[in-house]
Amino acid sequence: MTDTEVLSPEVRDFVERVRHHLRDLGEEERQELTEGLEADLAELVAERGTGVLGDPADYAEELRTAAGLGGRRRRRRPTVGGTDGWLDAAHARWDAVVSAAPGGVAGLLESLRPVWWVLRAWVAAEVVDLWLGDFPYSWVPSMLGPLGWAATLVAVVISVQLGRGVLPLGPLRGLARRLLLLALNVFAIVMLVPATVNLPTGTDVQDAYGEADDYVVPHLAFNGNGVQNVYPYDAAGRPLTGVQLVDQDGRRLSVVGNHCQTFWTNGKKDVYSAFPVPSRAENPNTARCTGPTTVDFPLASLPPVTLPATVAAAVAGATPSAGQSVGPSVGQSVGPAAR
Amino acid sequence: MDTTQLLKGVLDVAVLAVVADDDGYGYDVLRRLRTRGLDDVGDASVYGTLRRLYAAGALTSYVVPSDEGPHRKYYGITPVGRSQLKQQREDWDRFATSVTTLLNGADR
Repeated sequence: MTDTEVLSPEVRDFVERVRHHLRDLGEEERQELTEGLEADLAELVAERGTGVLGDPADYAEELRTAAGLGGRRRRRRPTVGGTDGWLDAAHARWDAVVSAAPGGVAGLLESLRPVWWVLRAWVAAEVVDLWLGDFPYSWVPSMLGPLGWAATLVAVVISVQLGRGVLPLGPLRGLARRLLLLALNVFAIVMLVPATVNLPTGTDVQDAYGEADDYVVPHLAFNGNGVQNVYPYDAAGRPLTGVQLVDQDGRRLSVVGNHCQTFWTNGKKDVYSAFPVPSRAENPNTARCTGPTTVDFPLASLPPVTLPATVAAAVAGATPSAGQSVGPSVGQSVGPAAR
Repeated sequence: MDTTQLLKGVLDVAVLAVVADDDGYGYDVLRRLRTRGLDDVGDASVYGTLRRLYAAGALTSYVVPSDEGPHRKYYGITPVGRSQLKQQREDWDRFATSVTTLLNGADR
């Protein structure tokens, strides 16, 4: 017989995974069960190829059963009550549900575990990114500029090593370790939602997120200040209500408004482009809205205006159907009001 | 017939029998079992059985370090194991005789 066998990565990995499936056993028991396993498997593989290595979970189960330590799914540790016992019970119930599911769901979930390890690492990095907040939020955490990639990579390595059960957590063992991992996993699941929904999609990356602080709702401005309301008067200088305004491209105009305003409606939804916007009075100290909703024109009336005769024809030709009840010629009320 | 079920019942005594004369490590024991006709025996079952017999005091074990490869764990039989082997051999003889007689009788 040969004394040594070269340990192939396949065998080392296989034994690692078998040990992982035995992680509910005590360290001494686990050591007892897997000591020398590398040598035995290395020789087996040397004779028959790596194809003889089957499913680590099945292998661990067979090893455990033959060693008289009981099947994992039926295994309980009644001596450890309280939280540990409750966790064991929950784990056993989950295992029972999964193994009862048809179509090899258990195997599928088992195979997907590494995907989760990577995903939760990414979530962790993104959460830090969200928390720091000053930087554009993107698929690759940008917390430290180019270091975002590196930070994510480190997180992935830590997460995977944790998942494989080979990362020492210092003095944390047993229940404390279980609870910490459980809390981290739950946290990652919860944070998966904000980490994902805040992500930019497609073309609005630069518009909406590249300049997050500058981004504002489109609105009318006058001398650089947002216009809160628009009060139209006709050519005769009389107040008009219910005037709808659009710009040169037919886009509806709107104002920055304030929270005491009530918008015009088309029966289904608010129309922000109809003026003046009725409003309640706002108490400047409390910011509370008081009193009835009204339209208070700043000026009761304006001096009347007219167009030079040469312009009137052109305006009339452009707006043949603008039939306001004011002004000497059709369309005059529209022109000045929009100015 | 599903021989894996039969194997489970006799694996203990079979393992004790193949290490009774010569100590062996896990794969060594597996090979001895297979060359003597137990082709279907799974390696994890054998290794698990070795650990269990060790825990029960029927086997002793020692690790042989290696400079290049992984350490190898050898098992040898103990006096407890020998008496267990003797007892189980008798049990098996009785059982096998009974079953053989039964089957031959049922055939006629």
